[in-house]
Amino acid sequence: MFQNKIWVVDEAKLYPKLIKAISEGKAVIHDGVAYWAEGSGQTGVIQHLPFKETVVQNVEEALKMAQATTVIATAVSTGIILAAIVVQTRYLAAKLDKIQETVDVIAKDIHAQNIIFYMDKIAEYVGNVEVARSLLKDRSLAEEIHELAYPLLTTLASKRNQVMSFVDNILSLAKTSPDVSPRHYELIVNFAQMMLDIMPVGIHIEYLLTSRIGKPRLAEHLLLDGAEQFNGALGVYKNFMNELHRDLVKGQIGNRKSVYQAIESRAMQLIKSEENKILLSLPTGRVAPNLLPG
Amino acid sequence: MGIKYREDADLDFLQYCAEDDLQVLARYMTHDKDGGQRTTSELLEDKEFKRYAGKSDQYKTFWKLIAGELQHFGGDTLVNLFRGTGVVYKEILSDVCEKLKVKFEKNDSAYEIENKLLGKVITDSWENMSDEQKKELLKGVGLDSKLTGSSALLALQTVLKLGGAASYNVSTIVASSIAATFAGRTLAVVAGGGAARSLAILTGPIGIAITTLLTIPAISGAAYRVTIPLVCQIAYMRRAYAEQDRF
Repeated sequence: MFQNKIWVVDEAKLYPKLIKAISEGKAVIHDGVAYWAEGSGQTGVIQHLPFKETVVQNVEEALKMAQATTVIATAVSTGIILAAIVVQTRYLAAKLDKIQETVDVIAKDIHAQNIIFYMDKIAEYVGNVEVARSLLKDRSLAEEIHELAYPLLTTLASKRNQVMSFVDNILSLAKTSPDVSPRHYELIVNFAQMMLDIMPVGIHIEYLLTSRIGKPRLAEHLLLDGAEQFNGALGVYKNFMNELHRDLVKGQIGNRKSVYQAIESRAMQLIKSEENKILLSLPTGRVAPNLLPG
Repeated sequence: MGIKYREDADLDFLQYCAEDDLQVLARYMTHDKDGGQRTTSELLEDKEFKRYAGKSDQYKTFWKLIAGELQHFGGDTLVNLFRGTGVVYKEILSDVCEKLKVKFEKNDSAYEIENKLLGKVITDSWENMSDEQKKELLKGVGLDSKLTGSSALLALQTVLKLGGAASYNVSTIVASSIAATFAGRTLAVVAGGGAARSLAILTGPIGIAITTLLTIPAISGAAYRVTIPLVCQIAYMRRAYAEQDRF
């Protein structure tokens, strides 16, 4: 758990025209900037949202806080609070540290060349997500990060693809290969769980960074594309866990039982996660395509 | 003495089962056919279990007590006393199958042995079924209802050996017939499928076959009157939950 100060929307300072546009479904918010939505009849930025500092204990509390406010504030706040937690707190860093530790253990334990190759890719992806987070931390640097952000976004998208296919491949290996020892099996399943746990955050970071450099339409596209890819990988994991559960019911799970029991509730949380749904959803509507900044 | 659950890979799944299903399972151990409480059952006397009386998840919370009692029923009372635990489920199932002359291999899993037991019940019931009932059964397990005679029975036995949905449907029909005959209640069928329709029409002949099996002198002992319905109920529950996605 963390206790952190984060910047959240100061709803008292929202322009009346923005409040009206939100209530009429004519505004779209990306990374703290409200744009006129597609079909609103207008284009461009409505308002750069005002922020105020607040303290949160954990994600659940922060989301409750966001949802306990007015309907308009909820629409504005929910995604922004989650994004703030991801960017401004140790939430992401803690997850990344855990993955890095597991990657190190797997790399040490499994010497197969293809595994080492992928572990390198994952370490690179995790590192790039952390760099992107660092660029996002200070909103006042928005104009200065463009040149760094462009190549970083290209790398992130490509590494994300590799990581997703690796999750898919490694789960197939665990399921079908008789050579996977119980120790390796445990590492693989834990690793897939952790990677899937981090992916919505990674995709959201890509989306935020793209928005930050003034490409809201591209940001929307990245988020939707990433969500589709993530849901595909999550589906593979879901099937994997269902098969494992089926084996347990049939009394045929054997030495995989302890792994299943250790991961069951975390897998359930991941598969049913509301946080991830919010992280991978677009605010209502899409940005009007013409006369966009940048 | 207190009920102790012995780690048992074939009973671990009970923790995922619904309250209704566990109640039926427990009922075979706690009450006889006429509704009288069995003196051999310790479950209803367990202090913690009693403390949860009336709660909606009483049986689910104490699934280990139920599984432990089942293991005790399968073991010899005196041996249980010394050992502190009963016998594992596969041993109980094998014992039932040997008594009923069901052929199985030692290396078979409990799931495979249960399929063979279900096959035996269906085979014994087959002769008591009318043509309409046979057709309904074939349809219920996804077979061509035009099949007749020994080829129909052979096809039925084959799909049962394969497990899956056919085995689930048959287990539902068998367990429901037993529940109606021995526990005076119907099962809350977990999943749908062809079996639900076949239940009413097939309860009669399968009930007769089970009753006949239980009255054969060699297997009419009190323990078998409990363990045979128990393993059929377990077989049904296992298949019902194997058919569902947990995640």
